[in-house]
Amino acid sequence: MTRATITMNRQAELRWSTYLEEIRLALQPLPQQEIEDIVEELESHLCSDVDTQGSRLSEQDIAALIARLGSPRHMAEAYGIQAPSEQPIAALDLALLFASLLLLLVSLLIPGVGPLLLIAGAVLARTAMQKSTVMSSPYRYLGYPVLVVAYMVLAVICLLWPLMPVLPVAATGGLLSTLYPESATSMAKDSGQYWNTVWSVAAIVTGLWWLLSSVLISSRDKFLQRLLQPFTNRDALPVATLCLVLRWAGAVLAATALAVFIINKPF
Amino acid sequence: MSASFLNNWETQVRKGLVELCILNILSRQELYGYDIVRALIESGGIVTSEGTIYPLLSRLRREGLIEATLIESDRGPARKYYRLSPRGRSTLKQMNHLWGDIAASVGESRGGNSE
Repeated sequence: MTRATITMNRQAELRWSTYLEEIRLALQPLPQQEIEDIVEELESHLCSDVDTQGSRLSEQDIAALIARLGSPRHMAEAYGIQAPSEQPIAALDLALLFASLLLLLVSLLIPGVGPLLLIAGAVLARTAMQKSTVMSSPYRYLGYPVLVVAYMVLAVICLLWPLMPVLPVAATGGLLSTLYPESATSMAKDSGQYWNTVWSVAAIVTGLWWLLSSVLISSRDKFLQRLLQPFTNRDALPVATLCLVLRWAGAVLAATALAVFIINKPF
Repeated sequence: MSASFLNNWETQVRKGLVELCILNILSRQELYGYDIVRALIESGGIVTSEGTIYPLLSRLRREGLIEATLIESDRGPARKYYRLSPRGRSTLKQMNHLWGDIAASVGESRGGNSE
């Protein structure tokens, strides 16, 4: 009902809804009904601003409006809510943070259960981060090391998973004999040519995966924004740039690997 | 005088006076939030942050000095129109009287000093 009459692009809409979400978070000590009243007033303010400007809102327009309205912290102070940095750390936040750090330690000590505990720790840390009003800095994720580690592992897996099935199979000598039964026998398993070919195949698959990823990412924009929210500080993630980088990196990697593969002539 | 002292003093003075300005604006006509913000901006920039008007309106309403009516709008969410309550009107009269006294005494304390 509210946003239907306002025309703004996707980035602008994301920026505005993020701002309202932060307002809700900053005003949490107030009764829920009062928070909703305030948010409705701000929505009405936005609509009036659009009426005045009479044009489609861009992200810059929304940023300017937010600057004029004031930060969520500023607004919370105007409602007499103590600044977050002056609030005592909520016991739940602290408990979740310690629990996630403990899980990280245990996951390093016991490799068998490590991945599961790391996921549990990351979920706990992310919950703590979302509930916390203590740290509002753009680098607040640094206070949640388990989350940083989990996302780094996830990023490595997402980018390099094609190497995982290729390299172990190659190490046992089965890759080329599977792909080219007649040529595998002519190539010693421990020779440089063999491993160059293995790496080339793995790199071609990885490059193609990056190309495919760029397509998948561009169609799952909102999911990616939500997934990476702890690190983007709720700013819009430059998905288009990320796709472009992945596309070019994938194309260069696949083309180079293909060239190396052809030069190697495993056939 | 340090810049932080001046900033702090200015914030305190503005904070105290914005409520008086809002009540004076609403004494003339019924308005909704955005219009009040515009009126305050046009009246000489007493507002530094538009968003902080809403907490003030909310407080004035809780104090019973203003009343609000929700009116449906065909251009977005319903608009909350504010007007002065009878209690607000009598309080405003006293506030304006007090402000007159304060302004006079500040003027007197300055004497002929134009600095």
